[in-house]
Amino acid sequence: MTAEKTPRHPPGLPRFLLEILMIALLGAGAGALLNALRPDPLPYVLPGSVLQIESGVRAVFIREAHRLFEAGDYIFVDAREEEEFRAGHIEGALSVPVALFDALYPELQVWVAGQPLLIYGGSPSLLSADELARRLRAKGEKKLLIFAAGFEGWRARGYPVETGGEGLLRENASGESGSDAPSEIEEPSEGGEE
Amino acid sequence: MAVKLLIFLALTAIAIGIGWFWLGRISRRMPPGGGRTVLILTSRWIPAAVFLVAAYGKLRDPYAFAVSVYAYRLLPASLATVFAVLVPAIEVFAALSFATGLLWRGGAVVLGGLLLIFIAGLLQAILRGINIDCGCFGKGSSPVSFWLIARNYGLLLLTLFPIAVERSRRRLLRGASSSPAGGGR
Repeated sequence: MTAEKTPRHPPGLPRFLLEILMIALLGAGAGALLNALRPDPLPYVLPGSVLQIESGVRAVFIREAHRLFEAGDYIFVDAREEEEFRAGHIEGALSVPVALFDALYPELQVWVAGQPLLIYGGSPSLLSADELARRLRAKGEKKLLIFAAGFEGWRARGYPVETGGEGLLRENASGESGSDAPSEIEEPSEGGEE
Repeated sequence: MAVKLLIFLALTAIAIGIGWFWLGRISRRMPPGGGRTVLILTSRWIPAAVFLVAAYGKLRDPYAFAVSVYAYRLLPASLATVFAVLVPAIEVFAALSFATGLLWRGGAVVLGGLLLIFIAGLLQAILRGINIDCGCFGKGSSPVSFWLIARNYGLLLLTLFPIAVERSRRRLLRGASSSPAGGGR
């Protein structure tokens, strides 16, 4: 048994320390490597709000968000103000500012039709995205994710962005009397489905 | 608040001291042989197994673990993520070394140190009235409680046991230094 062969080297303090150091360094190296190889590495630097999402919705980070974007399963929802959205947003995203949620939800519901949503806001704070997620959850939407890096993180990576009003639900919502005409709404802003 | 914390820390130190004393006594009185070997291996494999299971849960979902760590309100967000990424892997290496006997003293100290950190974290969460999941096994762990502290304390004693045995053996060896080669048998 390995426990029985110790007397050859009575372990002094330095040996203890050496062993501790070896284990700590090996472990730390393996942990960092494992994280880097993950489908969605956890970033080391992030705001506390990402670890304190009150809506209970899970956060994803840049690699996973981009993968979902490429796969096209998720509808991207922008929780920021309309002006910010016009100035630039993730390609194909829908604009649902938190303040207008109640007015926009009926139409959003038509758009979404059971598809999962990836919500993002501005960085570094997740407040608007978290609040939107909370409200969507309250409406019974279950398939939700929050993109932690927000629009700035997305743009900093050079991923597709666009500007302008495409993806705004507001204009359509104010123009329509109800929310039961999805075919007419879908045409002018096709980007929302990508 | 601070007084409470000091009292609890002092109590923990006393408890560890008493535990260490009894471990020493038990290990000195135990005759070498099959029984002792079984006991030593048990005291190595149980904590190692617990740590491996815990590390698996944490490694599967580092984000959830980082959320748990941050909820203790001890570390800023960025250190919480570093902790969440590095510590489970360190747990794996320490548990493997402790279980297999390769660098096992270092493994024992690392596991013991981690247990002390976890005990301190649990204690301060309870004292500050922070109602959270402990995150001990990753997602969906039980809420913090004194029971968890007791469990960690038990694991700590198990982890220290092989070291106590070896210390007492070395003391014996030093006493019988006239025959160093055969003294360990």
